[in-house]
Amino acid sequence: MSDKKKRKISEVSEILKAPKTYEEIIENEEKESRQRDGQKDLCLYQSTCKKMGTMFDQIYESKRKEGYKKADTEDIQQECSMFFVLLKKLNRLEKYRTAEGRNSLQKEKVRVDSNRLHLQNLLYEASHLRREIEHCKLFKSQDEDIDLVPEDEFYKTALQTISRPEKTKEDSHAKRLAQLQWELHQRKELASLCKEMSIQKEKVSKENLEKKNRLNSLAPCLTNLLKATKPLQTALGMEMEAEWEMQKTVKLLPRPLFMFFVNMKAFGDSCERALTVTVEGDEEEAKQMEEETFESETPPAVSQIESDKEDDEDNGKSRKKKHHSTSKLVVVTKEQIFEKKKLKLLKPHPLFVKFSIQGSRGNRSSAIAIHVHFFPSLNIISATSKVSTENIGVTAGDIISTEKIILGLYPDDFGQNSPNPNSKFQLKEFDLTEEDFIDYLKTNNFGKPFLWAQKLCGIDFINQNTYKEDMIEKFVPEIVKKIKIKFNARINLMKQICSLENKNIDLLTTEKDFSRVRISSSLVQWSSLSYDDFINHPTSSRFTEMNLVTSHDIFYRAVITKGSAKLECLICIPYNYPSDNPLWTFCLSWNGVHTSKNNPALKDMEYWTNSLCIEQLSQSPETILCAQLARTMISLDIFLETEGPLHTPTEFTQDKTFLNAFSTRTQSRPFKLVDNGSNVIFKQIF
Amino acid sequence: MMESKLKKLYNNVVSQAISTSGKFLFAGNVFSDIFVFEINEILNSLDEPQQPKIYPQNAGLISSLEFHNDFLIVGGKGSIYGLKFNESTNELSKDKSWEVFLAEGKSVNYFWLNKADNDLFAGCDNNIIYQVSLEDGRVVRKFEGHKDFIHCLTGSDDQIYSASQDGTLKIWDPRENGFIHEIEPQKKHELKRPEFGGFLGSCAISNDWLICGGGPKLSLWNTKTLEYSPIDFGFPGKIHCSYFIDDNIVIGGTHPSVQIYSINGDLKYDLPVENSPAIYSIVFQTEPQKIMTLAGYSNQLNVLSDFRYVDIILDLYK
Repeated sequence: MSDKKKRKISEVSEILKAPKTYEEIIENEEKESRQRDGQKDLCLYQSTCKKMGTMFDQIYESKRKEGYKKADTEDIQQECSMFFVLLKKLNRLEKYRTAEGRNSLQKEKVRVDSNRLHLQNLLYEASHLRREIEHCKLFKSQDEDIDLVPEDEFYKTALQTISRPEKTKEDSHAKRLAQLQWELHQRKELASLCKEMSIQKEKVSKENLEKKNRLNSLAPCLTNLLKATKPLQTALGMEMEAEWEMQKTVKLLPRPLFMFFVNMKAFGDSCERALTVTVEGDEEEAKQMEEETFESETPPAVSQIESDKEDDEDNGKSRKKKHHSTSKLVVVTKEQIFEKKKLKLLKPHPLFVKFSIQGSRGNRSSAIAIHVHFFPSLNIISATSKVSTENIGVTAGDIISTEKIILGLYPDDFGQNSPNPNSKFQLKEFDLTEEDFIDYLKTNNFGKPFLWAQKLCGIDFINQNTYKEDMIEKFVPEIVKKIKIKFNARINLMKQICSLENKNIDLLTTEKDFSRVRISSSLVQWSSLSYDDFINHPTSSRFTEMNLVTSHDIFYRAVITKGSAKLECLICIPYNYPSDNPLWTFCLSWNGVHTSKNNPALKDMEYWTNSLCIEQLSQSPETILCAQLARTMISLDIFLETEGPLHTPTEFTQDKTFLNAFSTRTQSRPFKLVDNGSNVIFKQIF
Repeated sequence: MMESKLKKLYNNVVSQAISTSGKFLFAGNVFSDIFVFEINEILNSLDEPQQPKIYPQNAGLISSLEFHNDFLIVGGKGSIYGLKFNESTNELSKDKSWEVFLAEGKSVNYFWLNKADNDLFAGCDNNIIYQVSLEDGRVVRKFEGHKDFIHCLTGSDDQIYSASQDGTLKIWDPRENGFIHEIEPQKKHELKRPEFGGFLGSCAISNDWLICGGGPKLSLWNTKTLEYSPIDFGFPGKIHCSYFIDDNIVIGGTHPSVQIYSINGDLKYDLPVENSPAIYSIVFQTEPQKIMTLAGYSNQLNVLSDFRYVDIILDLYK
């Protein structure tokens, strides 16, 4: 205990040794607190406290003892107060230490903060660099799009100064640079060349312009010259100019019409004098159409590619958007487009070919003109005819009325159906039927889509889309011949009917045999008849049962009288006359009604009239109708002359020369006229 | 084209014949065509009407046909000739087996075949009846006396009956030179129909009875006494053919129906034939198959399998 005390005192005394100033003391104490171990101080403090406790106990013990004296505890009290001093010292040291600790903590904190800041800076820098690297990696230069000369060729052609093979062979970058440099070099050269060329071009075009101007100034002179030569041309009969004009328009014809025109023209020029072929219609429109088709044929390819490109560039979303917007646009104008398309489908080519055939032998003033139209969208040809002639009678007009001549040139070719099987579906798209189409053609004067017209233009629907030139060559003469025959026959027929309407039967005399017979019956009426009237007449039922009459035929009614007898004749002129002859049927009113249904003699008469054919008319084959009428009138005479004597009073007696009024079991009458030298006699048909 | 139409429109069948076997029917028309039908086919193929075989001739109007042994005898203009017919192949020979020229180029209107003597009697348009022996093709004799052409012929063992356009029915005995009897129905007031003329278009006999008619009404006569039986047959048209079928009489002519009367004048059946203005030929048989065909101025052949109504109509030209 005393050691400890001593040491304590020594220690404290050491401190007390140089207590010069307050600062120094504080400094010392600070130093001391740093030097001393806190743990040891703690132990010192605890032992001091323990010692003090025991001392207090001793003091308390001694105080409790009887006879307490202050002096008894004086030592202890002194020691105890020394301990207090120690405690105080320790406390101060502790205070210093705490303050010191705080300071150092503060210092550490600042250091940590600055370190963290530094770290963050570094991280940011790292990420920035990384991004830079990415950028670098993604870097693309324009040079990649440049088509460079291939390597081999580069080394062969490029200048040594640029290519420097010794250096670039190893280093690909250098090689590329060299290649680019070479490219640049070449381009520069080409650009200069281009410039040179354009200058040259300008020069040439300037020259051209000058020359053109000169030529243009020549044009009026030339036209003047042409005008001046015109009288000469006409005087010499050289219609070259018209030919040239036509050639120009012919070039604008669509292919089928062109083929047809060329063939028809060739045939007309070489073989058929009566045939003339021309191109008519709106030339300007045709030109425009030509250009349009030319344009529409080329640009779509480009625009297609462009749109494809766009599509490639756009991603899915924008494409969808675009699609949507276009479909909306369609909805708005759908109706209009529909109508437009419909119009386009039904629109004929603005040009059409017109060929006209002049009547022959005595009918020179009459001509038939046939217009041939082409419908490009439907690939159909339609034909219509116009007849120009003089003196048309009331009922005769029907004979040559429009369409009738070119109707049924071939069996069942009435132009009532579309010849192109595809067109039905094309029309259906626009809610049109074939009938609508035919009506449309009719109302617009485009005629009818006859099969022969298609063939004439080389359109063969069996072998689709093949134009058969040889077919046209074969067909043209055939059609022309058919139309010519039919037209002439019709003209002749019209003349006959004209005169028959006026009860003028002078034409009959042209046939020699008939002229030698005195006809005592007379024609009192000739009128036209409708199809319905004809088929509803009781005597015509046999013809209708056998389908010998069609609504395309032309019908007439003639009345022949002799005395009290009246013969009503119904005549059907078939649409394909003159291939088929006119058909007659009779109804005789005389002592009852006689028809071919109840009287065999009338049936004989009917047969005899109907069996008269063109081949039997040697002198004038064109007057078949009149000849038939003459035969009918003679037959009526014969019938009445043979039948008459049986009736009383006798109205008719024999006037003509025949051997037997009746013959064979059928009691046939002598309707047949036989030349007997000086006169004619009548014999039985069979 | 036109010709075939005309043929169809104005076909006129004036003669028919049935083969000896009763299996084939022949028909001849004014256009000189012979149609051959198989009777069995006609009667049995109702759904698909039989198309006849057509054999064109060059004989003018084929006004009479008759079948003898295996020959079809054709009466044309100015001649009669035989065509061999092969029944097993249904082929009519195209070559004439024989030909006899008669009638001065005029038609041979009617045949009557005397099967017992192999003699053919041909009534012609030149007013003469020729007796032709089918043994040697010789014209045995001519019967002259009619003033107009012969319409119809019939005969019995020893007598020939002929009806003519001249209005008389003449009865001939082959052993006698001229005709032995003559009747003229148009002279009887009740038979006369002046608007039809006085001609006799048809005659037929059966044992005791003779019928004849044409312009005048059909009249019934006793063959032995040649007495007129005043029975009125109401057929309204001209008469071109009339036959006895058992006790009935069938009449055809220019009337829209063929009529069957009983011998006492009652109309038993009226057979409408609307397709023709006149019937010129009626043939019938009861064995081996019952059939009657009516032909006339039409392209259609009317067939009766029951003699009471027309049940089949066949087209001749297609």
